[in-house]
Amino acid sequence: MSHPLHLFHMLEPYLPMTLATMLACLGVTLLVAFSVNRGLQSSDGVIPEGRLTLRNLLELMLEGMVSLARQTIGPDWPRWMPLIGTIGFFILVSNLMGLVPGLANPTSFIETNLAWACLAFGAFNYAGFHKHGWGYIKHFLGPVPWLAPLMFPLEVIQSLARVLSLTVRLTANMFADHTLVAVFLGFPVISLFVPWLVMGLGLFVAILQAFIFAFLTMIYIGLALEEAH
Amino acid sequence: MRVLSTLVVATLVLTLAPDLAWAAEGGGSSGWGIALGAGLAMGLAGLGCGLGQGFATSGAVQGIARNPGAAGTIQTPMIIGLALIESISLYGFVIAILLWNLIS
Repeated sequence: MSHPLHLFHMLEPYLPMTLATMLACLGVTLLVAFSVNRGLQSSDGVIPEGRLTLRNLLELMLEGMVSLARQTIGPDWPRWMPLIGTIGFFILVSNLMGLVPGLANPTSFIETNLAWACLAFGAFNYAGFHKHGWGYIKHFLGPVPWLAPLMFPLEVIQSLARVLSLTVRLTANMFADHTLVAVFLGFPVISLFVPWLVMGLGLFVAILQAFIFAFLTMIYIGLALEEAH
Repeated sequence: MRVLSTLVVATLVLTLAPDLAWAAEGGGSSGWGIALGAGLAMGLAGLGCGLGQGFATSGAVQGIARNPGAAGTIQTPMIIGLALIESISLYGFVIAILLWNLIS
């Protein structure tokens, strides 16, 4: 993986690139969060502005995610919405950062995505244990009691495979986009036209993959919270 | 006499056979298997992904054709399904990249 010359690569001896890009993404997220919050704290904070602002855009995204959370998680959704919203928004910002020339993408490193996937794993297991207690193990035993010794390892492997699939899906999508652009830049004539299309596809994939990560976390939490078979 | 000639031919064949196998292999390099594996990994993953996404899109478009008013409702699960099927082909891509790093 060869990186072009950009800011985070120059910080390489002092700060590893995974950490530097992650801190930059965190800074952007906190900036957006505080600026929107300041709009809410003013005296007529309930009334939104009439034009397209950052706050209206975020409220639009949040409204869509809340309606999905209400369908998948059920009546318990306000408890889980901060986590899912944080995951979705952070991954969205970091994916979009990767499309800007000169910045790097925190989610193109497998370490970052593994951390987010482990957080989602902890979240849905905590949801299951918190709601059902030790009865959460009944989720892993399958529909019929005499199949339990066969079903239990398979269900445990399925839970671990969810972590792996979340990680690899996000990393490979972000990494493949950069690789594709790099490949097309090697040819003389095609490099004038095709990278535009690839960047457009990359923008679509960036937004979609952030949404897919948050949506899958919602589905896993919803599956852990519902009753066993 | 026949036994002696058979013995001579057998000795020649057994001595030269490893030489022929070595020449067919291309001089003793073992990287070709890994390269073939990398190509097949991505190719077969792309085949599966293409068929799966084709089925998903075909089902969604048939649903929209039957009920054009539900186009927005059908489009959202179709996009989600396409992204999840895409991830299977990306697993094959990851294997291909890992194998390629093994050669170079």
